[in-house]
Amino acid sequence: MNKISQLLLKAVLLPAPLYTKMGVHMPHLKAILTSKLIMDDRRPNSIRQVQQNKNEKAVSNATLGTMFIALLTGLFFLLAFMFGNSYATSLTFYFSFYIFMLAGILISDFTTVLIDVRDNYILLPKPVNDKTIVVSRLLHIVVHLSKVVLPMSIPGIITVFVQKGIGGALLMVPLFILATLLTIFVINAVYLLILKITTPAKFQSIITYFQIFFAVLIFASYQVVPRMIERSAMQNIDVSSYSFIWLLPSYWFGEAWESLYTLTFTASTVAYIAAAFFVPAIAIWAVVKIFAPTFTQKLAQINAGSSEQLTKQPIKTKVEKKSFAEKLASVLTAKGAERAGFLFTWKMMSRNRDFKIKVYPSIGYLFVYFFIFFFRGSNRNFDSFTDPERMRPLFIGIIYFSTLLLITALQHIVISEKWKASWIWHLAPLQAPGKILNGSITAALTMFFLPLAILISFISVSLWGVAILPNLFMGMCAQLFICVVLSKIMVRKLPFSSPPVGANSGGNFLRTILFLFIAGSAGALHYFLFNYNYILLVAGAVLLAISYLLIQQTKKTTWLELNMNYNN
Amino acid sequence: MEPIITLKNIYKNYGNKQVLKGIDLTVKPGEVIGYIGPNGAGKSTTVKILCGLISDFEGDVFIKGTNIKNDPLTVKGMIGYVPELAELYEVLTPMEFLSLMGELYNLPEATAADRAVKMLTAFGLGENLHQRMDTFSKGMRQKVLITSGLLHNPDIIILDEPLSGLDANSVIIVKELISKLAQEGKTIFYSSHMMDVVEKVSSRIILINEGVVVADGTFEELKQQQGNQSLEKIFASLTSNEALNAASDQLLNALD
Repeated sequence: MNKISQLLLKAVLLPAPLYTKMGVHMPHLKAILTSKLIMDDRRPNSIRQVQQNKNEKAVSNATLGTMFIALLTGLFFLLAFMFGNSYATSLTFYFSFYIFMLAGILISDFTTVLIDVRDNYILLPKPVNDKTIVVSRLLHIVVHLSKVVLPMSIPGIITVFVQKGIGGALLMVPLFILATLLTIFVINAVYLLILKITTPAKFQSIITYFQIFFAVLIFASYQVVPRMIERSAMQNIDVSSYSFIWLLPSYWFGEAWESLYTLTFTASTVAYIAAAFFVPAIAIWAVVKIFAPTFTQKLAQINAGSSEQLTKQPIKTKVEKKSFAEKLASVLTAKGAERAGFLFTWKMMSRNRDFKIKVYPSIGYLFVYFFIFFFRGSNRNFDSFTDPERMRPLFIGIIYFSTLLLITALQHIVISEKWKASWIWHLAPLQAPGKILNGSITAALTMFFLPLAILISFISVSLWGVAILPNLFMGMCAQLFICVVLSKIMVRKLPFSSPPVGANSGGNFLRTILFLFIAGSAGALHYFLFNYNYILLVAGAVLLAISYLLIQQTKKTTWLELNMNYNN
Repeated sequence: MEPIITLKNIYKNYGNKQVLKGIDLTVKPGEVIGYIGPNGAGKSTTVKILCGLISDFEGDVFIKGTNIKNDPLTVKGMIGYVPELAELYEVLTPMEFLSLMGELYNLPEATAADRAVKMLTAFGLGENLHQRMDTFSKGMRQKVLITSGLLHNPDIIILDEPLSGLDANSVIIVKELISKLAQEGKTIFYSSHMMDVVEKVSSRIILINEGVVVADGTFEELKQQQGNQSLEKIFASLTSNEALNAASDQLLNALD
């Protein structure tokens, strides 16, 4: 265990008498936490994956890197001090940013810690009580979060120190701790509540979509809120004038600070101080006392994998109707390996949790960008939407920006935690695996490119009439071309056949940047050719032909070429 | 002799599906129970109930006189469980993992370490004590898992397909270990599909099918009841229906 983790472990175990009072078995708690922190140190993270370095120093560097990014995020929060006509308002914004960011990190990174199904087999059969298991998971998260929370809170504390002195800065410390505890325990209470009222199988699915929704929400707020700020007089805003502001925890913290700092107490400020201190405490109590007792039992049912839980389905004698994917496959792919590759990839993209978590948010991001493109500028009215010349940047922007989604999807169709299951492809009597690759790429394009192309075409023709068709044709052909080139570089392995560790190493980020640059350049070129219909039609046709040839070439990929990609 | 394990009228449903339909069992100390049955018969559910992993069942389970519903932790402390799936914290070394297990069973650190070294060495893992388990084969992981189930020297040992992934020599070691543990008075509840092993190691065989016990006795008693057949044949005749008997023909016909 590295030094920082050791220190944090000691810190989180300080309230031992309190834990014992809650029914937690301290020696068990310490043993579990120690093991989990050792495991965390050894688990590959993004920095170690790139370095391929297994020594302990790399872990420290990774920790320092995380802490540095957290420090930068904390600096970003300082924007809050520019808002509002009172310090309580500024702090309300500040704590809103803080809680929101913390919740995002929790949902995206720590769900797996909370719902670690390996514990079903390892810890649950041991004489460890439920409260110890739940508290160990939460403290495990607290230790991790501390590495983020400490540097993230330092800029805020220093700012308050500079503006209000040592007293003000010291007051911030307990408020940070309370805000952190509130966020951790409320989010976990929500998770455990969902687990309590739903089946374990549905729970995982709900959590996946919850994570996707939250990722999009965070992204949208980062993109949209600063733009809204430009328009309004945020400097003079008074959040207390909003009637429902008292429901916002960040407002309690802001008001609590103001009241304690100025030592002015009214009935409402006392209520806010009480809320700031007692709601986190109630959340902890609810998690430990109400949800923990049933938590491990429910958890034991996740991934139970027992045939005894399966209900028997009636045997279907009639040939079932073709599914939507099968209908698409029969139109878009040739029978055999190509169709198998298409259907396999389609099903994995629809069902695989890791894929959904990594790719589906991009769909949301895209719509956020569309929203921003549409409402950029302050004097948009419906007439401005119907003028193709005025909307030229918007049209080009939407078409070429959608490459982002495709890059993300194509990057992930080769990656899987269960990559070893890809032996099936190697065992199949296939002369050339290129057809599988082709089926796989076609599935990704059909799922992520086709709906977008249809939507963009429908909106474009509705707004600008058939005159837009040459531009639409060129845009779609260019998109297809970019995607095919992308897939030539990114999809060089069989679908879902590469472990996440190796797949993420190095190049993908640079490739993403490179392709965004290519898409941007193509968009710029298209922008200048916007009014030259014949050139657009010819260029589109040429790109279409090249794309076709590239697709045919992919089909010819041999085992030798493919295996070289695995060896690299 | 007082039974060490008692199951009284156990019912368990998963949604609308009733998996256990009134299981009644008593097990005496020192018995080696071979618990067999086809897939979906209710074996795993029974094992999970015995280990305290499932608590929402009807009926009562007493382990050494303690009702599992009233005091699951005490019961868990008496049981050593070796699950079928070799789930481990693979980034730990065997010694680190077993040290954690020792701590959870409240064993003194030195005792846990001493036992861990001796048992792992006996399993041929003496040179791998401080290697991370993410590099281990399935069989090596299974050996660590068996060690973790026995580390606290429990009176009751529940084994769910413990031989899964083990090489031939290790299978012999585990089979002999089961016999010797039984001689020392340990009670063993052995759930498996491997009829030949169950036949050899069990002092009593319990056959479960569709949530009810369909046969219970020593192998000799079962043989007498079923006309001197092998355990495999007894299993087939007590658990199969006509459709299953014809399954191999149907499989062959499907290839036509």
